[in-house]
Amino acid sequence: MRLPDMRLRLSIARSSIFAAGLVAVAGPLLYSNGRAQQPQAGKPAPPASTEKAKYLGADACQLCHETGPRGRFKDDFVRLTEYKTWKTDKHSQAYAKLNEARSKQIGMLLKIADVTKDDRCLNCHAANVPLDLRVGTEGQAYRLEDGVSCDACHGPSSLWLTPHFTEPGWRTKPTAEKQKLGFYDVRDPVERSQLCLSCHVGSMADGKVVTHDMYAAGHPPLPSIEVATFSDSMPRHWRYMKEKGPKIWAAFHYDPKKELEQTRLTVLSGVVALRVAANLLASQARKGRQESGWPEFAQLDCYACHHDLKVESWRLKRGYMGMPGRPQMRSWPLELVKLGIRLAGEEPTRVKQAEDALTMAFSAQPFGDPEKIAAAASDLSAWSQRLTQRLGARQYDQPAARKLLRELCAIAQEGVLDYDSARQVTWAFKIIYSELEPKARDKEVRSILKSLDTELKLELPSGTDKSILGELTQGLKTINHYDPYRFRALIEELSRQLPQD
Amino acid sequence: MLQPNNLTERFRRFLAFLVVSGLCAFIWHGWPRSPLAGQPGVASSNNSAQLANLQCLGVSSCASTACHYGSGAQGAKGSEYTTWATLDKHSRAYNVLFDELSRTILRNYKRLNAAEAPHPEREALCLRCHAPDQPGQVLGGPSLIAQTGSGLDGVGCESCHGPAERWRTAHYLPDWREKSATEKEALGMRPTKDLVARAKLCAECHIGTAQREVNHDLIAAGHPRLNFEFSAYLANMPSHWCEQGENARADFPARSWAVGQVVSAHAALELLEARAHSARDANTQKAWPEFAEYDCFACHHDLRDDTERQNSVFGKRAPGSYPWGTWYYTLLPEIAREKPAPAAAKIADSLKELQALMARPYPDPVAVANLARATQDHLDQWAKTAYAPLGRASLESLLSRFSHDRSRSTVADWDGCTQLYLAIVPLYQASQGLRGLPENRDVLAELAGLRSLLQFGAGFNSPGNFHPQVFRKELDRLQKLAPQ
Repeated sequence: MRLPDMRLRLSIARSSIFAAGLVAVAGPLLYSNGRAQQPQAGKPAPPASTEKAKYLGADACQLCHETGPRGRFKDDFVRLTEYKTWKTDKHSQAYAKLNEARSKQIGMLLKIADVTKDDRCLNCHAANVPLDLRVGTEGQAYRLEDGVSCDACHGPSSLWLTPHFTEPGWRTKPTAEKQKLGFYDVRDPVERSQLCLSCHVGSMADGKVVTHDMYAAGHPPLPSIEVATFSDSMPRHWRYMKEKGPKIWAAFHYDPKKELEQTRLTVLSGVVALRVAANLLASQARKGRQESGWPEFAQLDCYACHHDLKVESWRLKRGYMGMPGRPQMRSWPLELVKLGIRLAGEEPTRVKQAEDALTMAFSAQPFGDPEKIAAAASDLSAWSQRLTQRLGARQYDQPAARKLLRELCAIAQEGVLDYDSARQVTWAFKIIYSELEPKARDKEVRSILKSLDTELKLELPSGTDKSILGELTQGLKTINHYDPYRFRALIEELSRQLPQD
Repeated sequence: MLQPNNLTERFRRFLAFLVVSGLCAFIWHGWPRSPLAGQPGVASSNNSAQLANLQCLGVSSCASTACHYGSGAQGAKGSEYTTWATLDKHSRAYNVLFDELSRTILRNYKRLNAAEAPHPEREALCLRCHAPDQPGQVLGGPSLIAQTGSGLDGVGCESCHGPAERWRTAHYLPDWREKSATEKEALGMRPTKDLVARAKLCAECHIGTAQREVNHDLIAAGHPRLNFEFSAYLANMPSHWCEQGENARADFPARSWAVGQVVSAHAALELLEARAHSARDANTQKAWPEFAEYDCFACHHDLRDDTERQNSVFGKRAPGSYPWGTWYYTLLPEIAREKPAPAAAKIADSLKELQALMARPYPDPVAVANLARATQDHLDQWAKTAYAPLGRASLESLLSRFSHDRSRSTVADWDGCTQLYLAIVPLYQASQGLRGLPENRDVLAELAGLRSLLQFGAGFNSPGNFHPQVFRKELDRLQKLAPQ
C-alpha cells in the first residue's frame, strides 16, 4: 500500500500549503473594510456585514469535504465527501462544457467571439462573479474552471469559511446570522429552489437567460425542473435531515414523522418555479418590441411550434387555451403550483384569473401583447410569492402526503398535460410517494411508475458519466412521441392504487 | 400536353397530397382590385361594380343532358358537368364541411365548449370558399346556404366561369362565338381560356384575399395549409375541357408554370399588403405577424439533436429567425433574370428587403405594406414581358440552372425544393415537347425519385423525414436533363 500512502502524504502536504495560503488570503479579508456587494437577484439576501464576502473556489472546501468523516466531525451531520461527489456532478464540468465542439458551434453561429469568456455563457456555466470578488490568482484558489462550484450555491465563503468549522454551535446558528456572512441557506426549500432555478429557468437580473437563438444554434433545451428530483440526480452530496439520525434530530428539534422534507421541497419549489418563470417572462416582456426584446421565443412553449404535424394530432383533439396558433408560455410552471393551491386551501379563482389574464395576453396577437404579458406575469409572480409564504408555514406530514398524492392524480386527470407538465407531476408523485408510509400497494404503484418512466423518460442523465447531449436524441424522441391521453390513462390507473382516506 | 401520359399521371399522384393539404375551393368573388388591368383577359375596373351584383344560377342550370351533362369520357365536350361532378374535388367542397375534421377545425377556431355544436356548413368564413356560387347568390355576397341549408354544390361552374345571370341564355346561341372576350366579360363570363385570368381566379381561394383568408389561426385550428402552384394544380385537376389555340402548344406546361409563378407572387403580395394594413388597425383583431406568410416547417419540426439544420440553414439566416415567403417567391427572381426588363431587375432586391423586414420578430407593418405595394408595382410593370411565352432557349436555360449547383444553394428547405421540383417537371415537359422528343424514361424515374423525397411520411402533414442534402444529391443525377 505504498502508493496510496504516498498519494495521501502528497495530498496532505499540498493541502497544508494551500491552507497556509488560504489563511494568508482570507485572514485579512475578515477584517478588511470593503462595502457589502449587491447580491444578484436570484440569490439570497445580502450579507449585512460590511466586509465583502468573496469567492474562494472549490479548493478551499476540498481540504475537509473530500475524504469522509474524521476528527470531531465524525457524526451523521455531514458526509465530508461532498467535494468528491461534486466532482462526479455535472455542475463541476459546467465551465469545461464551453470548450467542447457544440459550444464552439453555438459561438460560431451566434458570432460570439469566445464562449469561454462571454457573460451570456459564463453566468450559468461558472461562478462568474466580479473580478474583485475572486480570491487568489488563476490556478490557485478561485477558478472559473470549477464551473458551478461550492460557493456558487453555498455562498462566497471568505467570511464564513473559518467560523463554519471553528465556531461552536455554528450548525444551529440562526440562518439570518449565517446569511450576514454570505452563507446561503440551501436547507431552506425556497432559497434552494430560487438558487437552482435562477439558472435552470433563468433570471434576467442575473444575466442568466437562454435565448431562442442559442437554442437554434444548438444549445440543448432546458427541461422542466422539479427541484427535489433534480437534487437527487446531481448526484446529491448531502444528507436530508431525515437521514441524519436521532442525535442530530434532537439538536434540531426535528421529528421525521411530522416533517417530510422532500415533500415540502416539492410543494414549495413548485410554487417558486412559477415565480421565477413569471419574473423572467415579465422582465423579458417589459423590454417591449425593441431589438432582442419581445417576442423572445425562448419564453414560449417550445413544443407548441416545434412538432412534426401529424394527421392524428392530440393538439387538435385537445383544443387550445387561447386562439389556436398563438403560442403560450411554457405551461409546466403552472402545473405543480396547483398542488400548493389545493394544499393551502387557496381560492382557485384568484390564480385562475391571473392565469386567464396571461392566456389572453398571449392570445391577443401572435406572440402576445408584451405590455399585457408583463402585467399579468408580475401579478402571477406576486401571487405566488404570497402562496409560498402560506405554504412555508404549514406542516408536511403523512396525512398531507396522502392528500398531495391524490391531488396530483386529480390535477393530471383534469387537464390534457403537455410532456413537461406530465413529467413535473410524475416526478412530484415519485418524491412524495417515497416519503409515504405505509405503502399499501407498493408493487402495483411501482409497476405503473415504471410504465410512466417509459412514457416520459423520467430518469435524468445524472452525473458526469452520463452526457446531456448523449441522451438528447432519445429524450427528444420521447417528447416527440408523447401522447397526453396515454399519460392520463396511466395516472388514472395510479390513482386507483392510492389510499382513500 | 394535357393528354394523360406517364409523367402527368405520376405528377398527379404526387400532387394528391398537395391538393389534399391545400384543398380549398375555387371561388370567384368579383374582380380583384386589379393592378394588372389592361393585361389580356383582365376586366377594366368600371365593370367591377356591375359584375359584383350579378347573381349565380347554380350548377343545375348548366347540367342539362343536352348541354353539359353528357355521358362522354372525362373532358369530352358536352360532359363538363359530368367530369366535374364525378372526378373533380371542387364538387365536394361543400360536403367536406360535414366531415369530422371540419367540425374540429371550427370548434378549435371559435373555441366552442363541449355543449356547443360547430356548424362549418353554416359558417360564412368557410362558405366563402367552400360554396361560393349557390343559386340566387351574388358572387361574393352573403351565402344563402346559411339560411336555406340547401347548398350542396361546392365550388360550381360559376365560381370560375362567372355568374351566369346575363349570359346563360345567350352563350349557346349562334352569335355567341362572334363575341369578343371583352364583350363576354361585360356579361359576367370570365375568360378562363386566358391563362393569366385563369391563374388569378384560382388564386382567389387557393392563395386567398383579405376577405377569404386562410390564416395561421385557422391552420392551427386544423385547416390544411394553402400551398398553391398553378401549373401543378392545373395538371392535377381532372380537366373538363380541351386546351385550344395558344394553350394547345407544346410549351404550355412551361407557360402555365411561369404565369402561375408571377400571378401567385402578385396575389400573395396583395394579401401580405392587406394583412399588414389590418395589423395597423387595432379593431380588426387580425394576427400580426401572420405566420402563414412563413415557412411552416422552419418551426414545425420535431426537435432533433442533429446539427444538419444548424449547418445547412443558418449560414443563410440568423439562427432562430423565421424565413418569410419560402413558397411563393423562391423562384421568381430566376424568371426575372430570364425575362429581363427594367422592372424585373428590381424584383429580387424588393423581395430581399421584404425578407429582411419580415424576419424581424415584429415586422413593422407600415414598412411591410409599402414594400409589398412597391413590389406589386414592379410586377405590374414587368407583366407584359413576364406573361409572354418563355421560348425554348429561355426555358432550357432555366431548366439547366434549376438542376445546377448555384441556384440550388438558394433552396435549403422543403418549400424551396418542392417549388424546384414543380418547376423542373413542366419545364422538362415543354423542352421535350418543343424539341418533338418523347419524355425520357430515365429522367422520369429520376423525377419520381425526387418526388418521393418530398412526400410526407404516412400519417404526417409535414416533411419530418426530408433532408435537403439528400434532395440535392438526387438532383445531381438530373444533370443529364440539361439539353446538350
